[in-house]
Amino acid sequence: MKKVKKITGLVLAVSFLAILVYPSLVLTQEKEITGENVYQANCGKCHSERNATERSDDEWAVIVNHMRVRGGLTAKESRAVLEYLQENND
Amino acid sequence: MRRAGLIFLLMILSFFTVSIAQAQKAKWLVTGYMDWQYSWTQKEDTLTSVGTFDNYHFNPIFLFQMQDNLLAAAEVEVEHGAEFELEYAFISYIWNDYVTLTGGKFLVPFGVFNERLHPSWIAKVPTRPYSNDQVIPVAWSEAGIMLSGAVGIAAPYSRVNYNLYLVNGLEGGIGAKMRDLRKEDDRDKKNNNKAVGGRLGVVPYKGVEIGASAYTGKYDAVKSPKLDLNLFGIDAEFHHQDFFELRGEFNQVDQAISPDTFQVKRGWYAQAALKLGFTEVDILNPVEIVVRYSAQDFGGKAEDFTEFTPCLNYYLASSTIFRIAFRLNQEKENEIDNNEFIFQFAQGF
Repeated sequence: MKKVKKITGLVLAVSFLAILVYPSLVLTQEKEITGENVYQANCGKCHSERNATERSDDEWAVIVNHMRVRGGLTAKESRAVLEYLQENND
Repeated sequence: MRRAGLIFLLMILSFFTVSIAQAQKAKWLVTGYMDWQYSWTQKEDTLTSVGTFDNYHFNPIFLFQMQDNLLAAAEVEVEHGAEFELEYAFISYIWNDYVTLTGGKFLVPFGVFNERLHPSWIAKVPTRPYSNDQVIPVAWSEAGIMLSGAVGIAAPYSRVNYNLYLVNGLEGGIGAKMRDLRKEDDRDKKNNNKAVGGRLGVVPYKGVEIGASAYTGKYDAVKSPKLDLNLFGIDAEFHHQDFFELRGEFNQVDQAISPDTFQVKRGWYAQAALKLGFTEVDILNPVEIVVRYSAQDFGGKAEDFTEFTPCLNYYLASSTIFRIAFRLNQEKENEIDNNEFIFQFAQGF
């Protein structure tokens, strides 16, 4: 178990350093949010992304509003992801 | 009697659903999740290992939207096929782009595991980490009111989100376990002291969130002097695209057992998950490997535990998961063999 603790600590330390440099190495400079990216970056943080075709327009409206409150999204982000889901649920 | 009451509540909610939908053309739906599992636990003290099937959760969730800015939600929890609880039932009013007012019984936004991650189809490991079981008593709901919202900052996808609440608060006997402090909703019949708390989260860029949580109140049921209960927590998560995540929480409880003496309970966990879809090998696409380490430290050795759990998840669909986990438990004192093997099927609907 001590070995597991050491390995876990090492992984955490490396991960922490990676997180610090991650934006400069990997992220592109986006000027505006897109619904698809909001969906992947936020909904995908907690659970696997559900297929947009699973729900109707009205159902997505209910779900996204609740997820805005639960997930701490901004109004702009929740409007963008709702538009994305409703456009892609045919 | 309790079961009959909750069945009646389900019927009322169903009637309410149909009535609202017909009368006001409100939008509504029923979602939720369910899971069953087989667990096998070593029992060294009795020299007998125990294996059992368990219909662990059936949790229907009712979501309503009466107007664009007026929502209601309720979740009924049926555990182990026999235990009924109302996990939450609240109404939220979205006042403007930055402020939402919620009233009712809601999941306490302390860290993220309690509010967002504990449902079985979302949590990547079948068991709960010590920090979010014996320290923060997941699933923890409170009756009260809450302000919440989010504000965009600087770059796209960056934001600050907040929760601030006033609730009845945890209550129970002096020095009681955290899970024993969360029974019943009308706790302030015995202790007329409300608790306040909140969480502040920051998303500095896409894929990362860091948060800090706090809670303070009085918890004991005697008339005077009332004893303090203070909680503090930190949470952090990192995601790379849709296939790697690293997350963890640290939680601490300072529980007064006399006006001058506090019992300190700490717990933490760290979890890494890797979905093998990035390999672009068909057979590996639905597979996810998860490892978790958690610990609790109650200041003495008798209740200081650690666990390490590797888990293999197989996604039949985005919300249909088979899991195989092996939980290695270790005690600081009186070490016994009580490791667990768990096979779980979880479905979000």
